[in-house]
Amino acid sequence: MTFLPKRRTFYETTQLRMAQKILVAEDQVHIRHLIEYKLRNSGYEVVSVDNGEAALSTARSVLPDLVLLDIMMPLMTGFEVLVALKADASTQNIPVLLVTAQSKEHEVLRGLELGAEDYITKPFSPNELAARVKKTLLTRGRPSSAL
Amino acid sequence: MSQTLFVFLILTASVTLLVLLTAVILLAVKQASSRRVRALSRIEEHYGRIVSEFLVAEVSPPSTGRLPEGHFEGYRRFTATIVRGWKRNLAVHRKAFLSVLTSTAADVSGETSERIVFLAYELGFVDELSAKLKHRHWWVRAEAAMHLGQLRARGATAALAAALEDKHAGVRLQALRALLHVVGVEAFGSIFRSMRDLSQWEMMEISVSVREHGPAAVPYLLDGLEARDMTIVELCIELLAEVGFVDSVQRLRAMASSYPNITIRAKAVEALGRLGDARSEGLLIEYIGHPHPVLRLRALGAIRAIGSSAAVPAIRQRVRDGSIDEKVAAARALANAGEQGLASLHAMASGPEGLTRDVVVQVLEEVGEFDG
Repeated sequence: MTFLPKRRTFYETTQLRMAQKILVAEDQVHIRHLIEYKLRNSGYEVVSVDNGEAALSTARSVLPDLVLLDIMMPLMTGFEVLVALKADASTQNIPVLLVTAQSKEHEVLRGLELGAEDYITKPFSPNELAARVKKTLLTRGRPSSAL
Repeated sequence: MSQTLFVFLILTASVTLLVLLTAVILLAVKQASSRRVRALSRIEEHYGRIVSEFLVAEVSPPSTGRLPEGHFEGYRRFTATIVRGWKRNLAVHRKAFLSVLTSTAADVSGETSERIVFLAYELGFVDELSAKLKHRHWWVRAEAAMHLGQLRARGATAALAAALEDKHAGVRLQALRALLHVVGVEAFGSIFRSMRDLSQWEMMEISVSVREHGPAAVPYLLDGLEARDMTIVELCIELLAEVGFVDSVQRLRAMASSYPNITIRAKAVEALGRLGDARSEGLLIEYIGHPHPVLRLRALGAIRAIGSSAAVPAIRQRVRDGSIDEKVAAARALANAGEQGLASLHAMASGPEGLTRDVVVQVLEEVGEFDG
């Protein structure tokens, strides 16, 4: 088991370039790190932001393969970001996974109605999160070196 | 004159100097404080990354092939690297690390959550926080209880159970929340045994948790009926009715008949009404004519909830002879007692003028049965 960053080999760097991009929008710094590490370990390229506005602008500029969106975020809520993403022709086909508190069923329903692909409830297992990301990307039928 | 001016100038200069000095000191204190906050934030960020990496790292298969002890070998290699970084400013580093653990623990589950629990034990946080539950400042004790709950430290169950009897309400509330979080429904046993004079916040916390656990909480609620503290007995009665546990009718009937405290008896009567079980009907009818006014009033409310036609004669008598509150409660119970009850109300509405007639008319209007 290693905990220090490893120097990437040429093969790994090439793989990384080919890996699918995931945008993580989460305002809680420790949870954001956790998700970032899990997804990177699973072979994805991760871009992370800590507020809704940054999530929207990054999604428009980076055009990720999937967006992981926390609902409660500063500046713009996850719902507002979701609506804006679905209204924009360049981002409307990007699948969105919502991250929500366990007890808030109405949030899940609203998110799904607004076009979210799936949802993950907190507290969550990072392994389950990675599995859902993988499943969502598979469902979308995109070829991936990460899968 | 010039001397007075001189003294005035000296005084003005002194005051100005004092104000300036105070401002400088305040500014320095503020800057030092923000530097500390920034430093703590940087350390937290550093540990946040380390912990995140650990939480998602693939752990090598244990050399002994045994689980979970063998699994811990891999984890311990990680904790050793953390402790090495703690040589200087130990307290600050531990504070930052604990903050990372508690804030992450709330949002993760499964094996990741178990790794956090492991870190909390391995790095001595559970022992440290358990010891803090005896600190002389109540806010330190409360914070320790809160952290133990967030870390799901089952090893601190006994210490948290003891904290339920803390002299400060803030500590008791945090210990209550922590225990419910750590041991789940089993925590009710300790809570109902140890706590006294529940506050509104404590009651609310228990109610929410009982609703979450549903029928699993019933055995503990039944045990709670034996508690020495009246607030707990009252809350358990209320929650048994809330959960809708009909098998508690026998216990509640016994409490309604013979419990030494009249408030508890009234609560039991009310709960019988909410449970709506036919086995309570006879007792409730009997209590409509009870000598104690509180029991009569609660019995009328309960019989209204059940909707008993057998109770009509007894209720009618309370409409005629009771106090104003009883008249209203009894008239409403009659309105809910089927055709026989409504017929009685109509008969009384056409009776002689007076308080009874006014009440009956008002209740008939309420249920849309008054025909003028």
